Amino acid sequence: MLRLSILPYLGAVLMSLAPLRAGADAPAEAGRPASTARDSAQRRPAPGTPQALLDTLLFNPDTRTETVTALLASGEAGLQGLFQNLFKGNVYEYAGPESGAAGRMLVIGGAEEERDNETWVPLLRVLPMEPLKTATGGPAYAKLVDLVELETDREVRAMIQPVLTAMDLKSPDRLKRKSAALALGETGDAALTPLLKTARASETDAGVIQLMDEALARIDLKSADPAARAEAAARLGAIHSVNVLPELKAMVATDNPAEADPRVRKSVDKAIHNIESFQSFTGAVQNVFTGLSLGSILILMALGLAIIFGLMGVINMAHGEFMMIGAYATFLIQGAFQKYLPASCFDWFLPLSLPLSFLAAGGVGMVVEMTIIKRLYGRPLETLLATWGLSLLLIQTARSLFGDLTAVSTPSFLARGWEIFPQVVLPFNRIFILFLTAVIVAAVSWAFYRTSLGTKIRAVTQNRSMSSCLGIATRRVDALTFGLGTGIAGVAGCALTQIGNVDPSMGQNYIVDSFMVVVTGGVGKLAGTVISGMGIGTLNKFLEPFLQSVYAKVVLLGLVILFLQNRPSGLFPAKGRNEDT
Amino acid sequence: MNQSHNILHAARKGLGALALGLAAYSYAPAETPVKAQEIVKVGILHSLSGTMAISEVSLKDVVTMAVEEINAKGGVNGKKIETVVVDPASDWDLFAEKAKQLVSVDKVAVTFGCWTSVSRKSVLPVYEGADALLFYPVQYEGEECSKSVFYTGATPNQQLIPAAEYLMSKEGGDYKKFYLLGTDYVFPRTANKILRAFLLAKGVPAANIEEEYTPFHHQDYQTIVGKIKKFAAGGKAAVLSTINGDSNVPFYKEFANQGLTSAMCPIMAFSVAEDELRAMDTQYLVGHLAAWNYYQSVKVPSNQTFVKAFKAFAKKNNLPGGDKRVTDDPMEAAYISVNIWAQAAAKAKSFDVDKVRKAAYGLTFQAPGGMVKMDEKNHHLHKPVLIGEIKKDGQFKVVWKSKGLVAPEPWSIYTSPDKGCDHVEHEGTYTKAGK
Repeated sequence: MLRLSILPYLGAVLMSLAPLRAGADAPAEAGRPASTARDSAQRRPAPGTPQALLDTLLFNPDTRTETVTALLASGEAGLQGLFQNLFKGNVYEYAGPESGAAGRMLVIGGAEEERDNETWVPLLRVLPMEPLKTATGGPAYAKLVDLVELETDREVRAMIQPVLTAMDLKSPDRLKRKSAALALGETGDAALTPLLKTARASETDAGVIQLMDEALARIDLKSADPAARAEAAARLGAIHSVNVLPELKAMVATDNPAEADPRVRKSVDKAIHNIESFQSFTGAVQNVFTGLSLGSILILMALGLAIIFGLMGVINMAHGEFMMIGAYATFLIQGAFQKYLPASCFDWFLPLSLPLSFLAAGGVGMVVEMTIIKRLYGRPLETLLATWGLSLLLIQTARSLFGDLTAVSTPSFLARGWEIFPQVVLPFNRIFILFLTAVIVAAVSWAFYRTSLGTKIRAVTQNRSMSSCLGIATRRVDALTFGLGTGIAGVAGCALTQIGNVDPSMGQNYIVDSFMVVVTGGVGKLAGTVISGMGIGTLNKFLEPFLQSVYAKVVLLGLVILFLQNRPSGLFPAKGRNEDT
Repeated sequence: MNQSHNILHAARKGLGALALGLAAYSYAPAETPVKAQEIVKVGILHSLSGTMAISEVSLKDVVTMAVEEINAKGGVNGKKIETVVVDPASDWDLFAEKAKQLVSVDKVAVTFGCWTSVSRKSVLPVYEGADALLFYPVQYEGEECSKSVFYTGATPNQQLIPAAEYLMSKEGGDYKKFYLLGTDYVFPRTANKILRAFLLAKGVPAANIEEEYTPFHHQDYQTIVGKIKKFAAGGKAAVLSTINGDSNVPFYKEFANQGLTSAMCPIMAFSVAEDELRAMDTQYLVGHLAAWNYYQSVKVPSNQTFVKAFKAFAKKNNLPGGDKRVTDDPMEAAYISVNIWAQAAAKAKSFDVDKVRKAAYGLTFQAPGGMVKMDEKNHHLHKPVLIGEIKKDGQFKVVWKSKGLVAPEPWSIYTSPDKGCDHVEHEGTYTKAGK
């Protein structure tokens, strides 16, 4: 009820707020009592001046709801900060040397700071909203414990909410503008049309414009005039407004439809058809992308394993832990960037981490090869046990060095995504991994088939003693191959920090999938790994919408087993003689 | 900034801390009594290694702190409390084995322990068989009513139901559609069963409720977020999440990256607290919600004291994280457990299990977050319910608080309306008359 009763005020408040960039918490923005405030106070005789109302708010807790209503209606521009902070619960009663004759005053608390084991709050005046000064002219602070929060009940918060939402329409943050447009459209209140139209005229972001058009049409959809309703439905259909689909469907539902006019119904039916066909198209695009993305991640994880397992015949159970090493290398580099370099360079930590995590994991891998693996060539069972033991060792070492769960943040250029259509966003981090995988696959095949090291690796794989006779240092080639495989695992770990978290046992989450990809692809062929990775990724994503993730995984594993029973050596079986097997 | 500096610092000190940690974990710190004083042993049964260690180590720490505080005030019944710490290593079989050891070899007067429901279920026969006492400090799915256990965490009606009610209220956003998303194990399954029954009872049509589970350690949330997006397209939709542990970060990241925000579709989490947020990249979680009975940010003097005391305790004992450690809901519940038990033992003037049990009924305690009360009959705690909004620093801003304490209902009235839990007039679970 109260919410409705303040809607008429909303327009007045918002018009007077127009020059302000709402949503910004900076006191400097709001600290303009300016002439607008005085003008509006004169235009609309309020039951008291804002300042008097603020005093009432403080000293008369029983009439808080009424006072806030009056404040909202006063059209005072400088009060925007008060409303925002009242909603967040940052408005306090403060009793201190600055609070004057009354002994108490209303303050807004800024960002909390931790000092000497105490939480301190910088204090701001309410009207105008500006830092409170101590007697010596410095900024005033109070301990959080000494402040009493100005309690607001549900009614007050419910009244403030729409005002804040509407203010968000002018926020510099496009996401805030989007959700404000969405929320205003949902109210379906015709009083908001001028407001939305003004905002629409100065809007430049296509995504926000889409939502504002949608909100305007949605309001018209509730119009009393059938022609306006039909026209609104047509507009919604033309902009493929998925958000309004449930509302449109309710209008023409078979039992108890909300719309009686046949012309409007026809237009709505057409709009629904438009939106739904668009939805199935975008759904398909999204599905293909998620499949490609999962496939690229699987390939990236499995590539190193394919080299080590496929070419060297070593079953490396610690493969996942080399990814973990890459992830922690990224984490440490991020920490170093935060500590030693200015914030403006921070985003560069990721490009730098890629080669460094390759070197870190590859370096550890070569040490492991030279100390453990090389003694166990040709004894797969012992290698399996040794690498499994190594994986436990690495997990526990990471746990005691770094604790349990840590996270790597996303550089700003990878945050969010690319909105190809309304409602379809392809996250940048996934696009990045897709490209990274393509680059690494290309680089690895180049190294294998175009460089002398690659030729040597392939020669040693095919016939170790013959290669040795021909003068190839097979031990060195082994170490390099293992280093290459584990290094790629490190890069995979670095990339995975952009998707998930970093914790000591993260490798365990990926090892099964990696083996599945390598075995399905066929041992010894990189092309097999690439194709099986993509195949398993897209198949999984194709199954998931129907089966939910738990069963999709079960079905997928079942299919892989069936496949391997028919073709035990995978998609691309190694051809020719192989003396080791 | 601070956090990663802290972690780097911790990394450097890691090896030293490991050695210290091992020494401390293997057995209780030997307290050398100044004067010969009688002791009473209490057991601490929390995983100090393995997957659950991240959460459970903090409970061991806070129980140890509570015991120290009580000892500093002269102990209980003239006796000094000594802790016996065992490590069940996140292994359910080992939980039962270690519990047996505590009960029959160490002969502890009480045990504080367990986190996951499966660990509690596996030690239950041990405590019921030996008529020993266990205090369980974590919010759980209910449907249990053991004479040998005091449950100090929330029951479904002290966490799940108020959270759903809040989201449906005008203040909470007037949400009409709910996506129940969880990890595939007992707590989310039961929690969602109760939530679904509640939502249906409140008139939410079945078409507006979606339920989905993922395997443990699930990392790829693309399809699910896509589905949520479609589900939320009409507006007025919220996610109720019982996603566990390391799946949370990939989920929230994907959610944000696909362009969803807390304003369009908030996620209400039941398994994310300050201790888990400590190491997460919180930028993707800001603005989303959680439901608990306590937050570190609760602005009351008793909580300021508690938080300060815990930070000082962590620093003094060189615990990993030092004074950057945080407190959260299960930790407060564990702290309450120790104090309720000590009060009950003092009231009974005995450590006898049956006398302590009876003395505990109806006890009140000034907990860090405010006054709480042990129920007169059903072994569960009366607690306040708080909805919090996640902030950038990993703390919560309380946005809603229940009026007074909420009484515990071990058997949810929405799924088991005919069942009740009463240890005074009945023997535990009973069938309500007239049903």
